[in-house]
Amino acid sequence: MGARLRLSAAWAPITVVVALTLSACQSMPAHDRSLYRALGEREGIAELTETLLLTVAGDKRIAGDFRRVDIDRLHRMLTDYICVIADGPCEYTGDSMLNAHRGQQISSADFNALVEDLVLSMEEHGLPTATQNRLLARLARDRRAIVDAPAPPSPELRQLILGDLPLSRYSAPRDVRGL
Amino acid sequence: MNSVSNRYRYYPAWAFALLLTVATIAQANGSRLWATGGVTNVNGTAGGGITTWAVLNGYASDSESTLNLSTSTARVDDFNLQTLSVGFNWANRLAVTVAHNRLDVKPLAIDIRQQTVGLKLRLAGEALYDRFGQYSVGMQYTHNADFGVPALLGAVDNHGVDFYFAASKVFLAAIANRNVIVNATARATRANQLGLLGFGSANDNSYELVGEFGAGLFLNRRWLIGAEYREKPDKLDSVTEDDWKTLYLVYVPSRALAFTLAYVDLGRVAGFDDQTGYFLSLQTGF
Repeated sequence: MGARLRLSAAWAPITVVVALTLSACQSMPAHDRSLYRALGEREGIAELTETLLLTVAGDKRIAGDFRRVDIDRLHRMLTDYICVIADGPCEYTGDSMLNAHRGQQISSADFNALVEDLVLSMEEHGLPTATQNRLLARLARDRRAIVDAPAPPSPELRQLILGDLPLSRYSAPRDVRGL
Repeated sequence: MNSVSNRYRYYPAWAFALLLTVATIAQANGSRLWATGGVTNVNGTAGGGITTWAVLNGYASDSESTLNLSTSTARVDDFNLQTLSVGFNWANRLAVTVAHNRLDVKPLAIDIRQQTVGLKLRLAGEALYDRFGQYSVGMQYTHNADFGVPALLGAVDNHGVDFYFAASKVFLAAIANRNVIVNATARATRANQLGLLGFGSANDNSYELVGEFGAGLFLNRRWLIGAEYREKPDKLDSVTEDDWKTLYLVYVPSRALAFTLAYVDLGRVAGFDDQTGYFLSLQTGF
């Protein structure tokens, strides 16, 4: 008897995956503020971001990466960024996630450590699992732009491509919302 | 073939107690998100209770390495299956696992023991963050140390190698804003009941492609409920081998510890019908 193929039950997980992928692709209403409100609006997000930065400062795995950072500016930028990600009425004026992390050699382990600190911070603020997961799902899209982000192009290359534009103009607007 | 009173027999309660002690002093390593490393299955590799997942055991990420110890017991009507295993995860790229199974055949008062060495290589992707999930290939070499009964039942070999391809994906905030993990594995195997009844048979000794499927819902970051289905090759003429099914509950209080409790339905095993019961496992990691 030759080899038989018995993947008869394969339809079950395939159906689940297709259903989940389709539901993930459903476009959200443009101004669904439910996540923003669940996070406690801009004030709640600012408090969450503060807790996150304090947690990171005590996390020896990644604290060193933030040593020479202007913490007040980072707090403001991160708050605005999360606010925008949560469809809140904020404006994010910082670099794209890609440009903000270029050449910093951030490993998967570094990224995971930050995610863990964020989860612990959200727990500390008593945010329900559903709210945590919704925010994580949106922030997770940025991972590709953060982990092992390529070094910035050399000044010569940049000039060749962009002429005399300053570096900040290098940020493509679509990058503000991740990918 | 060994008598159940064999002095080499270990008692699962001791293994559980020892691992629990280790877990309380263990400093868990690795940074991947809690519970996303799965638990240790009956083959000794990361998965559910009976299926193999594409994720690698433990929580190691690209710059980390982790070690896992695990013990489990599956108790169904006429059998107990005890498993002890150790797994090393290098940089979330390659996992090396060693497992020892002991099947107590209660009506015959005999034990059948086997050892499995497994390799799992993550080919591409990351289950959580890549849109299309994570893909791994693996192989398992199993040597059956008590080949008497398997030979009587018609098995040809006391050792064999399985090859598999596995895919896993975690969907964040997918169902009721809970995270969901979905796994599918295609396995080429000649193993009868994991190899406990040997490999192949005189009439059907070729590799067979079987599937393993499962899905789990993370209630929160500590609790996971799910179901699994593992197709079996059913090569022996003398006894029927049914597909395996479980419903499981995993509790992950920390990266150092995971408990799994499952209801298992193994169907017909070695001539005994309707083998249902429970599966309990404990895993610790460093």
